[in-house]
Order: sequence, then structure tokens, then C-alpha cells
Amino acid sequence: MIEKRRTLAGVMSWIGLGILVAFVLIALLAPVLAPYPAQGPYAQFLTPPNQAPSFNHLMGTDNLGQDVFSRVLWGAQTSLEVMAIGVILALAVGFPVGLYSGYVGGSIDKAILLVMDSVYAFPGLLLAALVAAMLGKGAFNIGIAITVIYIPLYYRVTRNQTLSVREETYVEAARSLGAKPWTIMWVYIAYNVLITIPVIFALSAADAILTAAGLSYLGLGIQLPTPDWGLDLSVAQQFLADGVWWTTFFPGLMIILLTIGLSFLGEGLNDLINPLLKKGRA
Amino acid sequence: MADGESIGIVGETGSGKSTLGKAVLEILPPRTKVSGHIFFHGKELSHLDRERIRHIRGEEIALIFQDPMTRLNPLMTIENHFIETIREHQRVSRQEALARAETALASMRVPKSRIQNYPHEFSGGMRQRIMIALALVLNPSLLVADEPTTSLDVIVEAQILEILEDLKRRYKMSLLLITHNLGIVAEVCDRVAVFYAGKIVEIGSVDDIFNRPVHPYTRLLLQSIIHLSTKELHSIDGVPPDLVSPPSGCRFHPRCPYAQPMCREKIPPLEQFRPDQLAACHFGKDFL
Repeated sequence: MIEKRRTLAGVMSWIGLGILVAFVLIALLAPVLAPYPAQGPYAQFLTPPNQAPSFNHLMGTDNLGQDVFSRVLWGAQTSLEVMAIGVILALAVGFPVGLYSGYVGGSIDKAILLVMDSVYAFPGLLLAALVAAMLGKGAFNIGIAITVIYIPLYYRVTRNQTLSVREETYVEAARSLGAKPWTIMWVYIAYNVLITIPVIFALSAADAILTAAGLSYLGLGIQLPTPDWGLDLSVAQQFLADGVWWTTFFPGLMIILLTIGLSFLGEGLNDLINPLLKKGRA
Repeated sequence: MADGESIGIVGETGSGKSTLGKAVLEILPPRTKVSGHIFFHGKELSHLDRERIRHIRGEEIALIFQDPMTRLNPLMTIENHFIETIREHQRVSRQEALARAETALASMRVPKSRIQNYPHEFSGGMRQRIMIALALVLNPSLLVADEPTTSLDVIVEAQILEILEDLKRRYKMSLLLITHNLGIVAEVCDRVAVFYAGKIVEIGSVDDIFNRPVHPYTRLLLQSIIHLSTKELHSIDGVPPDLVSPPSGCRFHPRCPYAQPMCREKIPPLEQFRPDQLAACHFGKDFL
């Protein structure tokens, strides 16, 4: 039974990883893959607007006559960029702060926890919208807005895990051998905490894609003419009633696929790593 | 405690033996109430600042624990344990630290080829030998061994004891051996301190304590040892007292078969009964 679960988790992780790699390749190779390279990502009025998918335009064209297939390919760059900035910065801030907070404990820990919890209490999209409105547009700023939402998540997971690792007997042993607090934190505790991170890394990345798309959809994120799935979805919506389904369908499909891929990766890793963790502790 | 001397600390579970071991290194949990004094080479440890005490840990006083299975970081190789420990105390290159680690491990008969393995790849006995090597790599002058053989089988136990004996002889290292196994004490130690409810009830040479005990608790403890000729198990009635609210007077009086009314009221001081033997009992003279 357990073996079967493990195999399933392995398959899920590989599928998730495959999807993620495919998207990274799409993003990197967008200039090569896009069928109208000469026009680049911003080219407009190439062809009559709102054309159904055909051999010339695999995913049709939008209201400005842009090739949807090209925009979907270029859009992968924007999405991955925003996602990467968001989760990597969140990890870079949340992890050390969580480690420090959990290690020193006491009133410093309580104070940091209070701040983080109050940030956590905000609805994610609302907070991101607020930060995005303050910082202004652009992929980097949207990444920062997303960072703000996820710092408390990384902080909490790191801090709680630190609290438990701190009490492990090998930490006491290291202390009895005269290890410095800094060494105890970064050599003896950090690695043992870090193994819980990949799972939330993948899951929060999936969530970040949705949040970024949501921000763009609300008009607070990426601005035209930059190709972005959420933004394209938002613009295309008004033409849906005229039977123009392809301009919403394909960007939406990409968002869903990438999110599913990252979720598979996260859940798969979770199932793979957790039994190992439990076995290691026993 | 003299240089090169070994003292055994014996007592029941919960009598404060391990707490004493940790107190020596000042690694009790934060906000622990501490009273009394610990002197090491003429310095009182509790008065030292954190950086000084950190240097003493490992370099001058080392501690080995009773549960070697969980005392090594599961994500660090043996090599890195040594390098981290040595370099926390001395400015030496990785190569030199590594060379010293290999020497220390060799003296514990851990093969050099396994230095890059992780803790889970070793047996309990090997891990304890690695822990001892790690504790000794900085040549401390005092080794506190907190039940070093409790979780090991008898053959490994014999090996570890042999190693401790050998260290004592070769390096003139002092040893504070915390255990509930009286046999080990008789084998390894020069002097014994018997702990009851967080206090020393009797201290003296191994010979005096084993053959001429004064305190009733020591006598009962010795009776409870199992011999080959044991037909009936002797145990001490009752349970160790709650140390949050210890009994009044002599802490042993609720379980002492010889208890008198005054035992309940007056705390007995440690008194000298033989040249090198002290006990805390009001009626010690009667047991001489």
C-alpha cells in the first residue's frame, strides 16, 4: 500500500517536473518557436482581427489581429519571471527570518510572529493588489507584490520546523562541544529545516501563477502590450459573447496547465519526502 | 576532583544525575533555576560570559551522552562533524582538521575509509565511539560521560569501558561517569558519589562505598544489585520523590527503613565518617 502510494507520488512528481521543464523551454525558446519571429511579441495588425484558429494562426488571432499562439508562447516568459521573482525572494526573506525567530525564541520570536501573522491574515490577492498599486506596474514589481504574500508562509513553515529541530539531541550535543550559535543555526539546524521547503516552494509557485494572472486580470499587473496570459484573458473576455472563444481558451489553458504541473510536483514531493522525514525521525 | 581522577555518579532514574552533567557545561534549558557553584580549574563556571563558557565546552570539558543514535546530525557526514567542531575552537585549515579527525577516529578504531559516511550508516556502538572521538578531538581535561553505555549491548559496553579506562591512563584525563550501573562504577572509577533526589547522600572511595556503606540508601542500593547467586530481587520500596516539592528534612526519610521522627524535620549535613568518606545521615554512626 505504502509502496503503491510512493510510486504514484513518484509518477506525479515526474509529470509535474516534466510540465515545468516544458514551460521553461517554451519561455526560453519563445523567440525561436513563435511563428512570426520578425514581428516579435508586440507586433499588431498582422492579419484581420478575431480570426478562428487556422493553419496560419494555430490559435487564431485576437481583437488587435495579433497571433494568439505567439502571445501564448511569449506569455510563458512573463509568467515564469514573475513567479520566480516572487517565490525566490519570499524564500530568501522568509527562511532566514523564520530560522532566526525559531532559534532565539522568546519575545523576539513573538514580535516577529505577530507581524507575520498580521500580514498572513490579509487575503492574498488584496494585499498583492495593494502593494502592486503602490509599486507600479512591471514584471519585477508584480514579483515583489507576490513576495509580500508568501514571506509569511515561508516564515511560518521554517519557524515551526526550526522549533522542533532545535530540540533534537544532536543540537544539544553540538552545543556541548562548544559550537557557536551561528554555526548551530546554519550548520546543524538549517539543512534539517530546508528539506521541508521544496514542497511549499512548488505549491506556492503554483499559487503565485494564479495570483499574478489575477493581478493582470484586474488591470493591476502587467500592462499591454506585454504578452501575459492573465492580461490577455481579461482583454479577450469582452469578445467572448461574439463567439471568439480561442483568445480566452488558450491563455487560460496555459495557466491551468502550469498550475497543475507545479501542484503535481508539490504534492508528489510531499508524499515522497514526508514518509522519509518520519522514518528519519523514528 | 583531582586531575586524572574518575568519579562515578550513581542514583536512580530522576535523581538528577544527568542534570548535574549538563550543569557542568552550563547547557541546562534557559530559565532554569540554578543554585550552588561549579568550580573548574579555580574558576567558577556560572560567572563566565557566554563566549568563555563556549570555549570551555569541547576544549576543556567534553560531554558524551547516553543516546548515541540521535546525537549526530543526520544530514552531516562524520568528517564534517569533526571539521565543524575543531574549527569552532581553533583556526586550522580543513586539511589539518581532517587529519586530526582521522587520528581521533583511528584511536577509537573507526576505519578511516568511513569518514565520509552519514550517521545512519553506523551501528550504535560505532556511533558512540564516534561521539567519544568527537568529544576527545580537542583534548579536554575533563570528560563527563552521561550513561555512555546504557543503550548498547554488553559486548559494545565492554569495549567502550575499555576505551574509557585507556583514555584515563594515557591522557591523565579526569572522568565524571554518570550511570545507574554500579558494576561499571566499580570497574572504572576511583570514587563514587551516590545521588538521591538531586543531592549527594554519600561520597567516598569505591572500596569504602561498596564494602562499608554508611547511608541507608547506599546500603539498599547495593542490596538491589543482581548477582549470579541472586535468588530473590531486592528493591527499595516506594518511588523517587517529586523534586518540585521534595520531602522535608532528609529527602530519603519516606522510604528509609530506619527513619526516626527527627529525619522528617532536620536536613542531615554531609558528615565525615571515614578519612575519605562522607554521608548525609543523622544516624550514620550507627551504620559504621
